[in-house]
Amino acid sequence: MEHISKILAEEDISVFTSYEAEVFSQIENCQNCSLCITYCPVFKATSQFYPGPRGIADELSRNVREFWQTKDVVYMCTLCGRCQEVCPKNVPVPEAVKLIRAKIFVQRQNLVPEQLRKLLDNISRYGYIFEPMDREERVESVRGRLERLGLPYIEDAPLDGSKGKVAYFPGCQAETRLLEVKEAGKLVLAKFNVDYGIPEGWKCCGLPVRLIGDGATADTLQKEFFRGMKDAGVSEIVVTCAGCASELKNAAKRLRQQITVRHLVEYLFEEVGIEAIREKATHGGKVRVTLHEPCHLSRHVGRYVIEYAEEILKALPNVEYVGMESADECCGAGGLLKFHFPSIAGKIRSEKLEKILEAEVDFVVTPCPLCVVNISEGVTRRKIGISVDDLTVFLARRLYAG
Amino acid sequence: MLEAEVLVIGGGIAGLVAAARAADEGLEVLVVDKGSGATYQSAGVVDVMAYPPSQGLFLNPLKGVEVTVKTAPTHPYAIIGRGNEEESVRRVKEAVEYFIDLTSSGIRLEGDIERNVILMNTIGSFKVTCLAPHTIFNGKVDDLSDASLLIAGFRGLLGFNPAFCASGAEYIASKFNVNLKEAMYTWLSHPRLRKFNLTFIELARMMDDDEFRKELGEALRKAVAEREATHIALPTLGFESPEENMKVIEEEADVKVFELISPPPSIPGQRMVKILEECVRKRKVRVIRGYKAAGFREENMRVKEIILESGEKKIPVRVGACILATGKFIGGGLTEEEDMVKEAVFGLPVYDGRGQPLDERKIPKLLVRDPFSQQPLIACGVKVNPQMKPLTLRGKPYENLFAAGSIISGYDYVKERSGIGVAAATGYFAGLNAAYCLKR
Repeated sequence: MEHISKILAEEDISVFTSYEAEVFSQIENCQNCSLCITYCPVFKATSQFYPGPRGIADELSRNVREFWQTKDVVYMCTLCGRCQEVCPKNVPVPEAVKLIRAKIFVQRQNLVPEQLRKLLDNISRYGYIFEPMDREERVESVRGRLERLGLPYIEDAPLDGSKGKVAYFPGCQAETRLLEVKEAGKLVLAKFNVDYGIPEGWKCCGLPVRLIGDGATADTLQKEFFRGMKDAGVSEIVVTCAGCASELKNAAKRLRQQITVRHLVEYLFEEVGIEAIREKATHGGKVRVTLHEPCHLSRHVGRYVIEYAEEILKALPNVEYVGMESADECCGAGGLLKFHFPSIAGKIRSEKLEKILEAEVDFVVTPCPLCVVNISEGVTRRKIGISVDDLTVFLARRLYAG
Repeated sequence: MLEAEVLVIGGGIAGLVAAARAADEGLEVLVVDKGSGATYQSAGVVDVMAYPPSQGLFLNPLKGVEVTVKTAPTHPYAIIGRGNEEESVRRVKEAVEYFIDLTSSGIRLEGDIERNVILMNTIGSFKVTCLAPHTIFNGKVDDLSDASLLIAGFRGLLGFNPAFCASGAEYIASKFNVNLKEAMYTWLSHPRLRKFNLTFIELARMMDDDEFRKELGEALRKAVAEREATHIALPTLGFESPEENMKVIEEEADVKVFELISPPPSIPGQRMVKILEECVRKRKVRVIRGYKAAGFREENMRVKEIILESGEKKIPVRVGACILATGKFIGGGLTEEEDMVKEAVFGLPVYDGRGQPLDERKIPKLLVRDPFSQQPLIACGVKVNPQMKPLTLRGKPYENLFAAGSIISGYDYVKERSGIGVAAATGYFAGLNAAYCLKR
């Protein structure tokens, strides 16, 4: 056996795992009907050189072994999952894209975009996908951000091993970039007297690593993560990032963990209840708000989370919730596209901005920090007078301050 | 827990019409849909009946319905009229008129329910249908008498060859005794269009662009002047504003312009579902996409709950009445499991086109090798009683479950050209009966 695997490695031949074989055999269900390309956001933005999900399925169903022919395409995909949703045959194109990226990472490292490889360095160096700020700078930045939002600061509560604690996992984006999301998460949980703690020395959830293609590292990160959680006696994890939510839910299922992972939105709706939220949200003036639906919740977790988020927004006093056209369309940040194809991500984003403008609102909220960063970048560039907030931050402001 | 007085499973034509009809009766209606079904692939024109079972072409759809009721007692048209021809004709007419009215704020459907017309498609063949959006209806073969038709192709557009289409047009004209003077073709290109692997969707999106349609109009004016054409046929006229695009191009080129029926996923088909959904939402119907009906709970032959699946989550919905409009194989209402065909949500028994229960041995006989002949498997589905209630394994129906659209057995919409007609008629009466059932 060892001898065989050595030869295979020398000859650069890879054998499909049973999971890969299953996904690729489902790809063959593609009937070539092209319905997916009507909905593909990347195709809409770049039709000149992107063949769309059908193109990926097409080349794959002819000859799976030559999967690197799709390499320039698989790195353009935002993995928003729209194609699989509209597909009459439920062809798992996004899953196939992930697997091809993983194969390319193992066998043809030189084809992996430079910017993505750089992101991987951050993981080995810091444990986060982005480079963190230094300690003092971070403290200062948190203070400034909270002051601007009018929110109080509370200390991180540790996970001390006592029974029944909920672990709050903020995710890389909230730890290193959008610092207020982490703070707001703590504030919201505290307001509803949730006994929570933040795990110590946590690392990336593994999603970006998996998107880059480094499946082995992602697996290690996730195994370590769940081992740590088990040691801390945790049976419930709450996250504020859509990406972390979908990836950790999948990982918990794959690794057969008895730990429930929920997005804060799910936790609030199911455990705290709409009435309690309505009662405590006494702050803030009259505003018109619309919701952008992150792909990682609406398609990778399930539409019900979006319904929950809508219910929560509708319950807030003085908040007028308005629906937005194609709210579930990708904002362009997905699949790490923003890092290696910023121009395409920008084009997709401008479509999103048009829809936001049409809704005529004061606030766009979304329960995903990655979407927030992307959309607010667009809003700032085009000098649009609309505030972009993470749902957690928006909620914290309604609970604590103006 | 979610609740709905009427829950419609399936967001195609049948499901949406049923939802609108039930909502008209003052009920609170919820439509759930897992993705996209066969309507997105359909031609986007309203077929009622052109070729009744074992008959030739009928130029009057309602006469076709009449003959169908006489010759095929298990056909949905016969069932809605309880076997009475006049009743069936009256009810089909009522339902189709309701459909026209329902969509009138978004599509200008033209035509006459008592007259079939012949329309050309992009592969140079024809389709017999009854009503069509204004942009397509303009190109009906009868109107092409004494015309010089110019078919405009785009370099690199997949699945469309204007030369092929032009020879098809000549054949169609001679077949239906229309004195078409000449069918010509031209190839167009534009710097903003790819010269290879161009899809209909890209072209349609481009058509909606103000500058592009003007420039296209100018290019066509030159081509028309050279060849003295009187009519122009285009493969598509756009997604968002086909009527307006047609007007702009007509003004620029100064001849009559029309759109051909495009291949799946057809642009007119997608336009139609989109508009219908908007119209239904206006009637206070809630439509949610991305939910799959995965199971149900019944008590004393009444459906109490439908279990919806969203990702890993199972969400029960308490229902007053339920309408099953899940379609056939493309929509996912029927699933192939090993050698058997099953109804996906309720596990209802499946019948063949003649109303006999389907079993494993029969299925190979229902599939025909000849691609041009009728495929009897298309006619299988659930069996309904005159109230549109599907029969269960016990032979009795659930009191509050109704079926609409192609999940119903007994008709072959491909051969008959009766797709939207049956969908609208069964949807209309399923919605109405669901409302009656709840009020009682």
